[in-house]
Amino acid sequence: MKLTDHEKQMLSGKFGRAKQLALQKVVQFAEALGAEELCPVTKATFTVGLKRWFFYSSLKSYPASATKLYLGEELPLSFDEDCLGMNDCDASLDQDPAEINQSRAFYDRSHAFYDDASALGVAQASTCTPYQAGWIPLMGEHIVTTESSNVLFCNSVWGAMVNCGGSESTFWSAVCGRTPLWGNHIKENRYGTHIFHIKCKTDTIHDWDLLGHALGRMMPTNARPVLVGDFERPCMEKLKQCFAAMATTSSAEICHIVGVTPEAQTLQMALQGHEPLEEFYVTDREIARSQDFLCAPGEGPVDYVSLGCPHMSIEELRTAARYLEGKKVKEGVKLHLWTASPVEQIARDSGFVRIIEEAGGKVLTGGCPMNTCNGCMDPPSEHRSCTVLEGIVGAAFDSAKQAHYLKSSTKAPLYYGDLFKCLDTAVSGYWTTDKGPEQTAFQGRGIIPGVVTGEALVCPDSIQGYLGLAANGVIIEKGHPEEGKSIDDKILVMPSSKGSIAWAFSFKQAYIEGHRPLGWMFTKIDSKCATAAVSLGVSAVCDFVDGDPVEHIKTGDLIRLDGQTGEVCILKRASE
Amino acid sequence: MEKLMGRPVFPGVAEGEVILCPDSIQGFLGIAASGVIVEKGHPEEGKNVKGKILVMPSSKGSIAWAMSFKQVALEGNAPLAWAFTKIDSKCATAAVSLRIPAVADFKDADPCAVLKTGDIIRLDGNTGVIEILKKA
Repeated sequence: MKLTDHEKQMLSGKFGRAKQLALQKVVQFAEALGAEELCPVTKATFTVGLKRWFFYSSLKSYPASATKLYLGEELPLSFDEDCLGMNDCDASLDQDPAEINQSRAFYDRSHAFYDDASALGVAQASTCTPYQAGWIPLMGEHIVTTESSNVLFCNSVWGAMVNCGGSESTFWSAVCGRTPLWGNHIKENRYGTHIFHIKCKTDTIHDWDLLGHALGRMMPTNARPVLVGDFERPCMEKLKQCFAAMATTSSAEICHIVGVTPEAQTLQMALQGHEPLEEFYVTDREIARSQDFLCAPGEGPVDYVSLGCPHMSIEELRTAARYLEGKKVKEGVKLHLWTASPVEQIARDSGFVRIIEEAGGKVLTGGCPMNTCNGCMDPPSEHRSCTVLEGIVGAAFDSAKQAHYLKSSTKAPLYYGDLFKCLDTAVSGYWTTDKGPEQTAFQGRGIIPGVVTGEALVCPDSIQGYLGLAANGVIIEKGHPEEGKSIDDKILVMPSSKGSIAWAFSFKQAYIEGHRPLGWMFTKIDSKCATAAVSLGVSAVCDFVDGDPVEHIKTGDLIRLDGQTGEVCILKRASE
Repeated sequence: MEKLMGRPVFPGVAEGEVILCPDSIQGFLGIAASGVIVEKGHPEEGKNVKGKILVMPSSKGSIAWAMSFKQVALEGNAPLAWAFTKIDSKCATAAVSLRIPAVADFKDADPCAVLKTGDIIRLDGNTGVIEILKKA
């Protein structure tokens, strides 16, 4: 291990026992990783309040508990002078503990710990989004944090350098000011490994929340994803949601977005000359799978609604306030909007908090539902308790991360939707399902690439090719439900081919005469329709896995077919 | 005797029974303080890691991975040792925090492919060598 003179002095104990032990741990951590040297850390976020694991310490004071737990001895504590420490999202900070069903004893003990940490120079914003509180690392800056969505945000958006590690390694670094020069701390290691083509809806913050969840489900362990596609430039709120959800379903630590994030202004730049290991397509079907996983089925009463994970931005609080103006949260329903304390201050000064409070909602700071607990006051149980959900009949969240993790914390149904849907639910006290077509998207296998949008012509018993289709593109098969109709510019939906071996050539003749379908869908491929698809070269999808499109799509429905990803969506029903 | 060559991660020597986790263990909400694997659908769901040698590709899931295992250790239910096919920052934190023998970064053969639950092995955190003493 290459160590500087300063580091050697620290290891010898010159700067005190706590720093000596912390650096020893960091050196062991570096050896465990295979790193050869350390780098200075200038920012850290970590938990100061009473997490469950402090139960195992004496609880005398924050320094006593933290040093015993993380360093193995009860010691006087100081943090590195050149590293700005900030409190990570916690159980509670400034709200009335009764609001989140916490005991006063826990609240008081936790606050004593905050005071101890403040005295040691730790800034008290208590947030998962420290960048909303002035903790902003610049490109190339080495940092540590205990919040996984912050790891993704800092690596990807700021271009700062950070690995996940854990609570222990983050604490060691905050004390000694060093972390192993390894992994994301080395520029050459940060190249993208897996390309994700974004083909799904990406218009709203909620879309990006779902996208993050779906991406995380799809990606292999330790992937460094690269997002490409012709989506609109995402704003901070969209990325904040996307990364929190992605960190829930994967172990991703950096995510390049071509044309958006600083190390991915081009695809080549993101890949740094490496070949991608694999490419994926994220379709509306994948998004629907995440939605189905995250939201309880059906409808039902709701008495707890929570917005803001990660902590809401000032823009989101403004949106919520404007939407709530003149409305009233139903009696018996709790509506919580979670943010960081500096953001809450701005929202209060701007009148947004007043509007939210007049409507019956509460802006809370410093925590989130997942983190509500009575922590160290009880012995850790098999399952993590979540005090805010005690006794509820149903809850609604606008965050994939909360909806995902809290499933195991309550038996009540947990619903998941966007901010507006959640606010509507707080007003009505009831979660309703959106009445749409039963199935609007189908996943098949793409065989001829190309995206087309057009009207469906459904042939439940296929079309007899030979003598069933005229060269002018008109269906002349006797008794065919669409007899007399032209296939021109229609998306043909059929089970497979039918009849003579001349099937493909019948379509080819019409094609030569200038009459052709816009696209095809075959429930199940056969050699005749495969020949026709290749011969005509029009976009085609086949072999549908979840539902037969012939049964669900009606002639006249407007559909979009993607011959590459194999996804077919019903955009508008003929009956509408 | 069959041997697997890895890189030493945390010193110490352990002999014991393998629990193989081919898709790792979700730390956060996936392992109880009692040491029981509670991750839904995990092939070894319901088994206790106490006194066993965990063999896994790397960590999985939340940044709370190391702290989840730390709580297991604080309750006195720590595994005996661990082997990671490829190290990452979360399992390295756990290795240093739990102070139990650990080996990682296997070059020739992947322990997740070679070892099975129930195998008896000797894991040497000083040299990085795993010896298979008895096949399950």
